[in-house]
Amino acid sequence: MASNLERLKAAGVVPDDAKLSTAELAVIDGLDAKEMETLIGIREKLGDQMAKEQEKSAALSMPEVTPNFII
Amino acid sequence: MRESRTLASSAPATAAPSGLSNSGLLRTKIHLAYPRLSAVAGRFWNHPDLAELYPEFLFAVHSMIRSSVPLMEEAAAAARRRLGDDPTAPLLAEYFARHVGEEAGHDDWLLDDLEVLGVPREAVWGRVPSRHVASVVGSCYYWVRHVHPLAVLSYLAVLEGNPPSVEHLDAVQQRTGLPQRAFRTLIKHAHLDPHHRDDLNDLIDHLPLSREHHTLLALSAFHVIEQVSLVLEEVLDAHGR
Repeated sequence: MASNLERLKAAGVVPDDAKLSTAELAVIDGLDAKEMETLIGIREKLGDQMAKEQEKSAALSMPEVTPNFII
Repeated sequence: MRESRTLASSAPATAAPSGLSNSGLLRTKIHLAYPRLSAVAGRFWNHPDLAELYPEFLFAVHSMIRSSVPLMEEAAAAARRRLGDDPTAPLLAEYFARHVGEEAGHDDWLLDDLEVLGVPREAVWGRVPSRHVASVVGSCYYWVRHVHPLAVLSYLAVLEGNPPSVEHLDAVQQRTGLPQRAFRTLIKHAHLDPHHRDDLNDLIDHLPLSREHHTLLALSAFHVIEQVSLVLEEVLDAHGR
């Protein structure tokens, strides 16, 4: 059975060439089924949006610091 | 089961893996989902017609920010109902009560900024907000009322976690040619939110969290990221129509 990391890489949540720290690997290893399902679902929606916008070059890096919303 | 007992675990707190703090664990999980929001936020802030999009963005922010104080009052009340039953309740109740004061009036600031852009207050209050705003804020009310007020911390962690910087806002103002007074709320948040983020991290690190609490925090954060991304996509799509 594939590990959490393998599944996240297969789904594009984590880039294949990502340099992950020990702590990040431990967090990924500890994600439960609901967290995994939600993360993969979010990544699929990002893919849909990127295909729609044809902005494939922007994707799949770990997050840039792009300012978002405020409250 | 009484509402005040849901996830009120008296089991020992679960340590985050690899020596990460509670907030470090949550921030790492947020980091995994964040490209979804980062991509659409990048498209928004770099849009060639940002000057035209900006009032719509402020309306969307106002739609959410109007709920900040009522939502946290609800969360504070839920935490108070848990006092004596739930070891997280005292810190949560104190935090939410304090943060209500810190967020009060920010919706009015936005209305002032929108007026600078020619959008009257009554026009803002007369519009129906995005269903995605209802989804993200509504989900928080669900978590608070029927699961655990802890979930609101994720809402705050995402939305106060990465505010626009003053330098970024100055560049946007110059590029768009919009009045500087239309950026007052965002500039104030550029100064305030880093402090709020630190306070929030400190709170999360002091909470005795179970594995279920950590899962709730993650799922709530992921939902906020997804729905806020959809709010921003609506702002962009409305311009394209």
